[in-house]
Amino acid sequence: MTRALHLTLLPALALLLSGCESSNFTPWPPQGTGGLAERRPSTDARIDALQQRLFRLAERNARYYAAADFQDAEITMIRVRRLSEGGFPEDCEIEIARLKVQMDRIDRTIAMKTGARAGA
Amino acid sequence: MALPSRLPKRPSPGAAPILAALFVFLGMLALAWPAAAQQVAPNEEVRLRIGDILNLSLPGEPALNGDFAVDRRGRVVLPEVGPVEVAGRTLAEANNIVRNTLSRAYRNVGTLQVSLKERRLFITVLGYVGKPGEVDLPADATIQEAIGAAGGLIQGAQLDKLQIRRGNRVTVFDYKKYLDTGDTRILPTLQPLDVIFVPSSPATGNVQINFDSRTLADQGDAADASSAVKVFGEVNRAGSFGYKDGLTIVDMIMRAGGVTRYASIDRVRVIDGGEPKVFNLRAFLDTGNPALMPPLKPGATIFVPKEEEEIRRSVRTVYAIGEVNRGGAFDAAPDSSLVEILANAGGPTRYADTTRIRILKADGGVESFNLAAFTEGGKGKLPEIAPGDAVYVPEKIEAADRPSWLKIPPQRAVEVIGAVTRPARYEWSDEMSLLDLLGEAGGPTQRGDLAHLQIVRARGDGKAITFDLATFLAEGGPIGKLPKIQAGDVIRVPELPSSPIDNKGNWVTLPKEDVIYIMGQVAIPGRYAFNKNMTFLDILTAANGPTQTADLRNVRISHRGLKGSKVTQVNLAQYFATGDETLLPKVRTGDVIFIPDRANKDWFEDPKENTIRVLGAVAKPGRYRFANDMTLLDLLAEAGGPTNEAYQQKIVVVNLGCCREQARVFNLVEFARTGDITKLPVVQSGDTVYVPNINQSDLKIFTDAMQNILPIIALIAAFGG
Repeated sequence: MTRALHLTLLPALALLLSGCESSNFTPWPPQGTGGLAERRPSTDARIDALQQRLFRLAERNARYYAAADFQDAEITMIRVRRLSEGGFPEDCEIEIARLKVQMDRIDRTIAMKTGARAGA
Repeated sequence: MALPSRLPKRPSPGAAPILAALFVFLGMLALAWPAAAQQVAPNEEVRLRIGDILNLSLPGEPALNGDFAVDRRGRVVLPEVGPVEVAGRTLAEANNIVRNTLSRAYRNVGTLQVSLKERRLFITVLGYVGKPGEVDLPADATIQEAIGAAGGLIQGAQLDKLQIRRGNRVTVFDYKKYLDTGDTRILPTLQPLDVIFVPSSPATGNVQINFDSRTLADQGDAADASSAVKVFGEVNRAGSFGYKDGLTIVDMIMRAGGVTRYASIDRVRVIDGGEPKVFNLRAFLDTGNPALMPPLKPGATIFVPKEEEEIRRSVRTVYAIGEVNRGGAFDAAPDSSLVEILANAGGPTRYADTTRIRILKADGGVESFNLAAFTEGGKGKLPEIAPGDAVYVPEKIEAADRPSWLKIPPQRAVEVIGAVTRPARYEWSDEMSLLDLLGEAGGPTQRGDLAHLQIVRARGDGKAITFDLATFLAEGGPIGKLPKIQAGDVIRVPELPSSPIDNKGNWVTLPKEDVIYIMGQVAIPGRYAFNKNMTFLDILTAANGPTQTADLRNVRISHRGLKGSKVTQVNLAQYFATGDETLLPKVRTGDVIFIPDRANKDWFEDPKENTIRVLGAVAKPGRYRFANDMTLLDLLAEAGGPTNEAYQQKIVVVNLGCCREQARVFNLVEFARTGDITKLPVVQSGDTVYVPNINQSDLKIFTDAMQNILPIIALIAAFGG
């Protein structure tokens, strides 16, 4: 009986003591996401609309008439997509506003250089 | 003036007693004359005239007891009856007329007595007198008294042409002659209502000016132009002078104030009757021979010419000719030296060749003299100059193809210097333009900087102006836009820096308004010539471009010359990636371009917002700049990847968002196995990536704890067992 008790209590004691030994253990944060979100379809219809507008600008030769601005807009679009999927809704809104301004400027530049009406 | 009177009848012979009585009477009359000077003796034959004063006497009638003047219309105005014309009547006739007229208003006019009390002259004096107008004079007054009563003559009066007008008749008389001689016969006798007119002298001209007597006298005293002698030229007071018999040319020259020091008295010209004659006044004065002096006639003209206009030749004359300042003939003493002659001639000019001065002797010989050598070493002896000799100072010898530059005086020359084919002094004419001048100078050289043509003005403030001829030639425009060049200006065509490598000396010579500065990671940093036609890439290329470690994403341009400070940051890498010209900044002279070093820079130069910290078990932990299109994988790769001790299943990313902070883990091992990109966490600038060590794994922590506990358990088991 005593021997059986020992066989039972000793492992329990060992676990108890090991738990006390590792009492400073901190859990790991959750898994991150969105780091390459531009490679996957968006789950936000609003962001899809922005992406479509950017495509239309590219079709209007934005890479030729406003190369630097279009490159900046593309990077901003990437940030929007990543922040949206990464759990940063506030940062995402800020980047969306910045993206709209950039695309408006590209629109005006294309219109000025081609003589076409802005937004056409 | 004697009153007209009838002469007494000639007495008959033998009437001596009566004649004696008459003489006695006349003697008594003469004694009584002063007391009755103004009382006119009654004379029946005297005819009354204007200005006479009649005395009326009618006892019992006070109004008819008094003096009555014969007015300008020949009438006396009487009480009750009015004017009665009496002028031209004898006194008896006037008595009857007055009596008859008065009888119409008065009774008992038979006792009326009319007598001539006094005679007066009403004279009008006009012209150049002090107070022109009518004067009332005694009956025997003269013209001189009349002029005196009218205020006297004033300056400018023509004395020899006075007029007296009586009715329609005008009589001219020479009042000056009267003043000269005192002969009263020259003066006409005055009569009532005469008008004396004093004309102005022709010397006063047509303009009213207050002349003084000296001024008038300086202009001559001629009254009659036809007879006046005109003296002009080198005399002190040229003018027209009245001719008088017996006057000579010398007299006239003296009246003209004598000759000036510039007069050529050898060749005084006298024009008489249309025939010019030359009068050698010098010879006349030397000899006193009156035959040398032409006779002077009325209306002659005397001209005294200037000395320079004449060829001088005398027994003491020497000549200085050639490149002297005031060449000419000089009267010299027999022992005069060359230096004295040259000094009198104003000295040699700057064009003179003083090494080859020639003395042309009067006897035909020629001597040469080196004045330059004499002044430097004092060798030799100054040649003596004898009368009749000529000193000739020749010009400097000049090249056949180009005249001596000294020949062009500064007020007629323009200097062209700098990067032109033939920099030199060029003779200038105002109808030429800047382009003409550059053409004459052979045009600018290949290194000429036409964009910064400099012109230093000889006139005005002397400040240099810069003209962009390169733009003018490229864009064209009217020639009037070119700077107006004036004689004396200096045009400089600066030279472009020949090589960026070794032209630092040239950079320094450039004005700061024309340069731009480029520093940092370029092959040849420094100070470069720059103008508005150049761009950012021009200056970058001039500096041989950025180096391999140049941080092209952070090129900075400091814009100077503004009211405030302004720095532009340029992402040159993006320009090279996109070719978008709008990325290139506009730079101006004076700006500073700085290209930082990407590799060798201090860690604190990158702000924390632009970097990501990579910590833990990676090959190269540190701070890394991060582009927003990169991923965590790029970052780990840049940091050399996790080490062997890295706990690759729990790579931690600490995100610093705008509004929240969070931590996420990334399992690199699982990602490598599955390739699931959805499990890749977001990384952005400002974040921190931590790669833990394997010792921090859960299993490792547990096994370590067990290893610590097992000895205790074993000890408890031993005591318990």
